[in-house]
Amino acid sequence: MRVERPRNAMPASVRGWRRILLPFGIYLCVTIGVPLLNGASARPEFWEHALEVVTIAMILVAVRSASTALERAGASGGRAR
Amino acid sequence: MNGRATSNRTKRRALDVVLFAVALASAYAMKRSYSVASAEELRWLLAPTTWLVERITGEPFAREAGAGFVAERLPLVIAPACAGVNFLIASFLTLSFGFVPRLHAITTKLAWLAATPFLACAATLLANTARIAVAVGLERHGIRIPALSHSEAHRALGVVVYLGGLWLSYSLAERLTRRAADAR
Repeated sequence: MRVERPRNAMPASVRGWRRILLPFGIYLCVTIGVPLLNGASARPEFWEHALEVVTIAMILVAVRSASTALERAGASGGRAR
Repeated sequence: MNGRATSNRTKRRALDVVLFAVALASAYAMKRSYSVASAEELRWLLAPTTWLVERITGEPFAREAGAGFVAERLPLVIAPACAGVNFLIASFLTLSFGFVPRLHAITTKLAWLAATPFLACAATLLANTARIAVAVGLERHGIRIPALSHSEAHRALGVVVYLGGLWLSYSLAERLTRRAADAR
């Protein structure tokens, strides 16, 4: 299998964000976006569900982003030493 | 030479757009057909999940027509809503959108897109088993999450396991494609 590696490949930070945000965005689209398009907004329990899903997902993104940033800081600190 | 490289890149981008459209259409078809599917229609997903949950937790489940698989000793049902169809679709789209543009050769792109439904099925089976096994553990030990009702806790567990599962499958696919590139 050949993977594209252009000379101006994405920087590590962009790759890191993409790794976190692409699955997150797709998850929200499937669990919240599609039901919204199908008219779920008329049901009050949908909003309760959506609020819970978005809140927990945002917390997870924050935790994952923080751990990725710490890992990167640790790695660059190790290289500097 | 430069013009040829640009033309090849344009062709690859055009193919990516076509493959994205195919992936989206497949996801839409999956969502339409499985969002209203019965326990019998989802048996191909529910039965192996139940089998794995039984092996991991030791909790017996009995098949009940129309409902799915009912735990014999706990108030738990592995029903169509627990089949993980949304996760299956999200996983399929993540693996398609995340990796098709990175692959160079047209045949590799097509092969990857053809393989993603199977990879997504495997990811769904594992994520769903993990989610239900944790739910069995919580139920068995009577663990309650403060400030959350039973259904809210169930939903919260689903978000944690499914989003975590998507991240994990993305990382594994990244390693798989990188290793394949390094092997060349």
